[in-house]
Amino acid sequence: MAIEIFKDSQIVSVATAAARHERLDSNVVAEADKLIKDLASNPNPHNKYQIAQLVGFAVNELQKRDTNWVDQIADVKRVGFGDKAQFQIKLPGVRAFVQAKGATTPRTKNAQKTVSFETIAVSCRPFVNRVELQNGLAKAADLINDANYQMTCAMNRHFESVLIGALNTGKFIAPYYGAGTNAIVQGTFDPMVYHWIRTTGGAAIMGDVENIAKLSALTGFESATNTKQFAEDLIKEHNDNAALATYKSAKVVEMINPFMEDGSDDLVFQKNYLYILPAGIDPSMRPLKVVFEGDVFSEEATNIDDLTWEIRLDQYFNAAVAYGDRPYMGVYEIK
Amino acid sequence: MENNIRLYNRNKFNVGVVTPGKPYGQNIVPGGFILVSQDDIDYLTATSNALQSGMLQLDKEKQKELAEQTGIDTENNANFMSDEDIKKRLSGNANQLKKWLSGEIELYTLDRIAEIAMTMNLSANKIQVLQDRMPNYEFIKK
Repeated sequence: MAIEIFKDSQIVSVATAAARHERLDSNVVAEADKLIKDLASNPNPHNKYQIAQLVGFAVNELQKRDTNWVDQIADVKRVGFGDKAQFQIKLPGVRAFVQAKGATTPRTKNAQKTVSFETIAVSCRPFVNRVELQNGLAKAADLINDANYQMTCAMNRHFESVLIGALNTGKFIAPYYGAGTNAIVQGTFDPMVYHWIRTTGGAAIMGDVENIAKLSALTGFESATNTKQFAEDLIKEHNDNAALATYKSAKVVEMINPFMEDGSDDLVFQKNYLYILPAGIDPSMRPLKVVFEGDVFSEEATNIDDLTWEIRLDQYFNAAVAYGDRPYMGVYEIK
Repeated sequence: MENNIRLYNRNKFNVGVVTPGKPYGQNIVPGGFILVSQDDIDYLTATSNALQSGMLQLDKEKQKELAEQTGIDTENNANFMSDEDIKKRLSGNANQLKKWLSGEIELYTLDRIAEIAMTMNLSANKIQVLQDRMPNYEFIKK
């Protein structure tokens, strides 16, 4: 009987869970393993296509979870293939005037702007030896995990570079952008945090662990020039958690910043940026706009020259920075 | 050592500066400056990238000294120019402007150039040159 794998097949969720190293029922895993082995042991075109489908579906599932960094910072829209996402941006417009009685009031418009942009692709082309696939040496879970990880990292890097490209230009200046020489300087950083506490009632500070740890030294009171007093429990908290949970009422969040590959010191995100995110705003107000067009799709082929079997995975996506009266975000750069 | 060197922040955002004498740092407001010593300048060039990238600037002669140390051409590089120098370049001819803009220019410097250009009365071909280099700015109001 020919095996058919669909997007909602149980094998997809099992493969996804295995790639995430989650705990699974051993019976279910055994069943799924058997299914993949059955497919791989008889590598006719139909079965190879089904494995490629499985990898594609599983990576798609994983992407939706792993790109959570983007969900924190960006306004994310998912659209179907060939569709365009439209991002609404509110422009400053309506104004009131104090004037003489009966004078003509100037008209001001409640204005909106719509932004949409083209997508690009992130693509990954892992290959395995055809024989290794057949005898089960090449594990589908590893293939899924590696492909997903690299695709996610590549996309995240793109999102970050788009955001950084918009910094310190246009309206992305004080108090939304500030810089310090190899340090977080309180006189520069605090007004940026206070700006959001004043505007939206709260803020979160997100950054690499190395830099959020530096915030602890900015707490405490200056009793005399160049000496500071710290509360004892703050010292303990800093020592226990590498950073304080709150800074001037703003929540401090660690940005998960993994390495690009095992054994390299190449980080996914640049560590010298601290993001100050206003609390309680609608995601559509965030300046970084991200669109995913369609799901991850897969194609497979066997190479007759070297007996390798490869899958090509593609996801259409893009990012842009767009805002109206002000960017609802602060970025502090450690220069 | 005397604090007699002016350290300028010619950007439109705040820049915090930490020097050995002021471990908690000082803020330089947009368009402002602070007084530092030669030791502080050496410390800043060693620990940070702000002086080398032109985010923070010095007086002309000090800038030249720094250029000799770091090997950066601070005379012609837009990142190290004051507003007057940028104005001078913008009032030159279009071909020279194009050549000057084709160099490596930081985003915040481009922002400054755009801002200065908008206050000037420039010819159409110069505006075209600026528009080509900075497509995101509206030099001609549509």
